Amino acid sequence: MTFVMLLVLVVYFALYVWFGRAGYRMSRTLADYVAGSWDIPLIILLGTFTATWVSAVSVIGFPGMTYKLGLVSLTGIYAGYFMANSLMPIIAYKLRRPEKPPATVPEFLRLRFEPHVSRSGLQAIGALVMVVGYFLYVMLQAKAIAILLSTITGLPYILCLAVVAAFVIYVAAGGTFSVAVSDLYNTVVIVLGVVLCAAFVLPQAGGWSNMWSQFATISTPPMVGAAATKAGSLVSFLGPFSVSYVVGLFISSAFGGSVAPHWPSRMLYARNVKTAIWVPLASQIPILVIYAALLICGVAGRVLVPTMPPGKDTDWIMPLLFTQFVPSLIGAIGIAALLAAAISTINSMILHGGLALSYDLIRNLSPKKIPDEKLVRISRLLVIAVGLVATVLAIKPPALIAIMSAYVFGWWGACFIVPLYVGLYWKRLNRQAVYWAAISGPIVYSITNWLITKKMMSDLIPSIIWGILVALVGAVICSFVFKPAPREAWEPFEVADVSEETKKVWLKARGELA
Amino acid sequence: MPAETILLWLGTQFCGFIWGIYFLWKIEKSGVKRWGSCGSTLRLGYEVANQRLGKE
Repeated sequence: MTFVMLLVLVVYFALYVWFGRAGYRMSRTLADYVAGSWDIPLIILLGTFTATWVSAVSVIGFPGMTYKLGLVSLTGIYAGYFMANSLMPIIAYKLRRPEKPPATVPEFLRLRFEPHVSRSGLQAIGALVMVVGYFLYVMLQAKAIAILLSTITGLPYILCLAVVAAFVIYVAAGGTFSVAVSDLYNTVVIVLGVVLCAAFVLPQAGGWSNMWSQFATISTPPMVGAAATKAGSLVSFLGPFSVSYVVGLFISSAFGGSVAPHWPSRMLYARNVKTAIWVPLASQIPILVIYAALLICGVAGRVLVPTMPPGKDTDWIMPLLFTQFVPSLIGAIGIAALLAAAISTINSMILHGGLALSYDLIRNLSPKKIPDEKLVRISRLLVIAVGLVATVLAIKPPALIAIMSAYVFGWWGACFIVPLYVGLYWKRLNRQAVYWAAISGPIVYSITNWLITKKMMSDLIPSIIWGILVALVGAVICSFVFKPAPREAWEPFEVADVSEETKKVWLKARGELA
Repeated sequence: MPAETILLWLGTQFCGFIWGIYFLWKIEKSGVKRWGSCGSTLRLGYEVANQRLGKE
């Protein structure tokens, strides 16, 4: 590791902790810790939304995929995720209406569908789906970034993992403000790192027009031993995929991606409904800048290095550019950007995982009321525990975990699409319908995914669509067979002035009324 | 860069502004200050939050 890189990494981590500490000072109550007191302004939400959106998978995987497959990385894979952002205002418009909204997505399930129960099964199911998903995702992200850091710096893998985990856990344990403020800083680092890298590699690839004309004619294999790329295929709209596959993937990424629980949570933290609507919309601008820079890196990378060096997968194109094609200071900032992308996603997921355990499981299922100060302490400990266990398992993840992690976003999509999209717009949707959707959706998704992978079922319709369809049809039937949801369940999401009865029911459901 | 790719990219990123701005207009029309109604569709309407925080 060069002195410049060491210096940049030390400055990056020092500032990350400094911004994270600011969040510790801002969290005084349980509401501060869990939901930023539903009062976070647009600029901070924009930072945390963008930084969580851009993960290590994006910064490494998107240019790597562009390098290997061409523009289909954009049209076939990532367009669905961009569309997810465009769909989120539909959720935000209703979700943030209550004066004191749910603090978490599982608490939304409780308040919207079973506000009269003393212990909510729906809140517990939602929490379990979140905990399992975040746990798997954190582990794999931590592993990926530690391997990369270890290879680039030459430091031992365990040391890199421990350093990343220590900083991330410290900030995540600070609560929602800590994560949000440090993520704003991470967004600046990501934008700076990838834009500077793109600005340096673009001229080396011959400038904009030259780069594209060379990219269109490349016919070398992307990796040693791989099949040669067909000339022209890198700029084709669909690449190697069929129309039905791309359309299915687009729909599942768009709808499934928009209900991953960390997105509705950020809308809940917003200062008001307008802020909640603006967050996903405004974030499209920094995301556009970041992905334009990453696209240039992937395309220019293929022009500059038509075949990856022996033993290296195409995912190594960004580290290769950072270390060999840009000045050392810019390369070091690029590595910091990679770290920022990974860390900002991991810290948010550790926090949500820990909160799901403390707020949605322990607080929800405990027979006795837990004082708020005690619950904040429990939450901090559980956030630290989730981070530590995920880190220890990341040293050598069991094979089953790698397989299960591929299912995470599908589970979330199949579980949360019906309650969020239908539940916010159809008053009749009741608790039986959501029990059906939250359980059947992930199960059907997992089974059909397995059948498609084993080629025992056609891949014309993606597994998540099967999961959503079964969840939706069953939910509609349940809503007509059983009693409609009571007024207290939907009223705060519809009108500004709710009845006294509804206020009382919500206060009791949240444990704020004896 | 092919034009259809640019169109799809920008289309997916910015089509949300169509219904997003419609929702903002509906909030504005509702007249509910706590939701952000403040006299302008595009302004965030932090008056209620600012009053709560003692800024006004």
